[in-house]
Amino acid sequence: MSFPLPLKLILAICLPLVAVYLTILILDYRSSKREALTHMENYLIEVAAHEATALDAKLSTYAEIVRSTGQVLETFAPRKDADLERFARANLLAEPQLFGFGMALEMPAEGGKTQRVAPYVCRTADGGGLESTDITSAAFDYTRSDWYLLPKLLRRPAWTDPYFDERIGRILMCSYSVPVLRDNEFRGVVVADVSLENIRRQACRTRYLGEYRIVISSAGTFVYHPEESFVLAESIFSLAEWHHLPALADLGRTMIAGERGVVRLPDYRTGRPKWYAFAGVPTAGWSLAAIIPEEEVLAPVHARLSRQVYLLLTGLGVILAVVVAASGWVTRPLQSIAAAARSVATGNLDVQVKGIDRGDEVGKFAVTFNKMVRDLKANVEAMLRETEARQVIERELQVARQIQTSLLPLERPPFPHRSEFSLDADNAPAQVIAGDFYDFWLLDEEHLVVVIADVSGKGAPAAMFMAVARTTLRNFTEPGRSPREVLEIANRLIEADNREMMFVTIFYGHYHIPTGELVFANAGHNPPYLVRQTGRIESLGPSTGPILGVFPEAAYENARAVLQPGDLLLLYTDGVTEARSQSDQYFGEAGLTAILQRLHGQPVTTICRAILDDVNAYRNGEGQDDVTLVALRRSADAAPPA
Amino acid sequence: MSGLHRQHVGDVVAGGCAALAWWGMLACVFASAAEGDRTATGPTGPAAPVVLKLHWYPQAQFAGYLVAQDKEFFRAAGLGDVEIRWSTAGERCMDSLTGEASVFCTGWLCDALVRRAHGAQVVHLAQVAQRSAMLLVARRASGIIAPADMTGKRVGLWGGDFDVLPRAFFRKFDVHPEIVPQSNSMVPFLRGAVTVASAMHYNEYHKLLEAGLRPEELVVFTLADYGLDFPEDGLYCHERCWHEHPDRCTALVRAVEQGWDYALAHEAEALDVVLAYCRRAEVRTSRNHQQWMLRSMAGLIRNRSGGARAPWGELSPDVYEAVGRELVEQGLLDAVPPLAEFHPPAPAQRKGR
Repeated sequence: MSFPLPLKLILAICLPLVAVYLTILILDYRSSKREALTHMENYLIEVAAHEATALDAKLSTYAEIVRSTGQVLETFAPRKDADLERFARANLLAEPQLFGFGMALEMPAEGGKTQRVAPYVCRTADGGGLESTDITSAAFDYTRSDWYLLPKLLRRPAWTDPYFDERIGRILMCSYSVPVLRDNEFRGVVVADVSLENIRRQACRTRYLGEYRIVISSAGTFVYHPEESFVLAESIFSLAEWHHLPALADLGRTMIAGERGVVRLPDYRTGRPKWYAFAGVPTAGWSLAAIIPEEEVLAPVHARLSRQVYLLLTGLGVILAVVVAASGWVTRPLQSIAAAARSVATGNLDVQVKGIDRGDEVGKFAVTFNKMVRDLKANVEAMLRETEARQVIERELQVARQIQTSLLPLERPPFPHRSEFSLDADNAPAQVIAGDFYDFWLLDEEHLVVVIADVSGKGAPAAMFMAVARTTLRNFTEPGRSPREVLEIANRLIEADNREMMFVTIFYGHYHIPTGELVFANAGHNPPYLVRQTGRIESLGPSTGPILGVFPEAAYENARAVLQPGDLLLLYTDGVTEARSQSDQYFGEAGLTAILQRLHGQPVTTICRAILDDVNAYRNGEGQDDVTLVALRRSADAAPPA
Repeated sequence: MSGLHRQHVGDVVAGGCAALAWWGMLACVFASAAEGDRTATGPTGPAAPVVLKLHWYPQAQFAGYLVAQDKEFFRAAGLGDVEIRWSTAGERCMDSLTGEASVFCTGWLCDALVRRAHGAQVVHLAQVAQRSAMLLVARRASGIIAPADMTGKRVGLWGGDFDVLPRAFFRKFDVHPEIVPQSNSMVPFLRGAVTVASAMHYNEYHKLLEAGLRPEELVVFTLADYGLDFPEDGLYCHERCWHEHPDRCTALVRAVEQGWDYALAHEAEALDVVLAYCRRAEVRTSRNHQQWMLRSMAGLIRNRSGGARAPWGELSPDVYEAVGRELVEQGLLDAVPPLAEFHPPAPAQRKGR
């Protein structure tokens, strides 16, 4: 899978960074959480213990006032009800946090009977004053109240559970009452009332973090709960039952047993964990719990975590931006180079990458690329020029070939009106233009001039030289002038201007048509073959003089041969015998004579074509040297020489 | 054992006849309901508003009455405005039946019977609770496992009309406890000030559970299981009220029945109504407790002792006889007043006779 470079950079840089940072983050979060919870636990236990002690001290203060009053009443029997009421008022004035104070006594009356006396003083609704009530005259039987029954039955002081005083105070309160015993006889109670509002203020006088408190009575009833409607109405057990939380009930039982501790419980409403640290309030048999939702404890940890995540994300963003910018800085030049390369690929060699003036690798690459394109352009232009020049040369060579070809006899078959002989020739130049040539023309009605020549070298110089040689031969061939003379004249003329020291081998012959006699001179050319009608092959060698065009004083001899009817004269150039196979074997004279034997009796055209084809096949289509052939056959029905 | 178990065949036949008579009365109740409105306001001008005095603070024990008021079943029954009043601790609810024709009250059967036998003109209109829910509760740790174990132990009893049944229990089982007054809280019991406490299954028993006690920590004497299955909550009026406004009485009975039917069928709504009354009366209670109470009441209203279904409001002659006999045996009554006097048949039936 191939990703773009920026993505690779991002993955390579950011992924390890994120992995490392996340690991640090998780480890840090875990340890911070642990620390925060441990710290909170210790702190919460301390708060619960401290606040429970403070509440207990407060309740003890109230209890002490009631107890001392009780002790006084146990010792001294008051003479009048009014004394009792004054006593109550004095206590309320001394302790402004008490709501009510009263006594319910059985006083001796006349006739040995007892009389109930129950003066009660409480604060007025506005809190400013005090009002007195004689609760013996109230519609209800106070002797069935807990504040009366508990000390009476228990014979010791007791705190009631919180209750709503519906008749006098009309507030939520709880009472502390002590029995008045004389001679171990129950004589009544002294009671003080504390408003739950007072308890609330006491329980809430301090508050830390997201912590809050509850106070439950010995029956589990809420004496204080931040949810005011719970006070008196609900108990820790009713909540546990309603919300099906046995663990909360267990906590309640531990609390009302007066124990200290800390537990983690799900909130009865939300199910989120909360921590409860609790301690007993022994004076009243109550229990105070300091409660904190775990999420409050962990809020700073979470805040820190989110800050770190925010920082991580911001850092990542910055790194991403830098990486993107850096990768852009790296890839943008590469992209322009790639675009330029594409443009080059479509043939636009004028393109140059600009704006990358940097000394780094990319800059060097751009410079190199630009140089490469410039060089490429120069090369292509040179190539184009060369091609153009070659095309000009080729066109010229084509013209030269056409000219050269036009120099050779064109008529096919030549001399159609002469039945005494048949003649054909063929020429396959190794290059566009050939150094070989052949020629034949009628010198007069009875004489046919036959020429084959091979100029040294190939191509244009050879062709030029060939043209000169051919023209010279043509110009100096005259009736009565023998082949020897013609060659010698031509040699002198050509040699005189032959600064290039080129030369030509020529077989030049005069064929006397009526008799079949061939007078010829051979200037260093391959000796032709004479194929007799019988099939015998004879070589017309050796050469009768040196190569032509080199030696000024070269002398040539005439030689003679006679073609009997049906005999075939084959002139050829060394392109035939020196043709090489792929295994570097020469076609050789043996190859040629083999063809001649095979094609014995065939028409001259067929023989020429067959030799050319065989040689071509032998050299596997490679143009190695010019191949030229001239075949002359004396007709079989021609008169034998006289 | 239970008086109910000692019934004779004759009792059963007599009981059957009485039941028929009761059904006849119910039929008349429905037949005359339509006249209720006219009866309540009357041709002689608007009558005094109907007062229904309940024998305790607002709570689910009275859900049927409160729902009837809230859903205006009283008004629909032609009773016009019905004023519901509460009783407080120590107050004797039936004392409110002073002869005013528009006052109704609730109370316990045994209390009403004792009053009737002592000359009070109390007339029974409907028996709402078919069973007794009263319990005596002790901590298992106290060592009390049988009634006799209570002798010499301190037992808290309520005042008012509520001590007849436990006193009958003590007499029946020859128990001699130290009886002390009981407040309307269970705190003295929880603190160990009393060894045995009175409790209603629907109320105080559950308050003990809401104070953290487990059922297995308690020994519970269900008085009904000791042959004292005295049906408790019933609807009463003064005899004069019954004679002068029988239609009003029957309309009230029908509306209360309708209220209870609705309350038991729609628990959540009934609890909402009850808790709203509690809030207004500044009674602090938990929904959990009121739900317990309403469910407990449902069993008391629907089923007789032994689990048989009871027609709503019926006072079975057998049960009546059994309760009366038990009270006589306990010395609380000299003789059982005739059922027809205590629970007179509807006017139509009287004509029939």
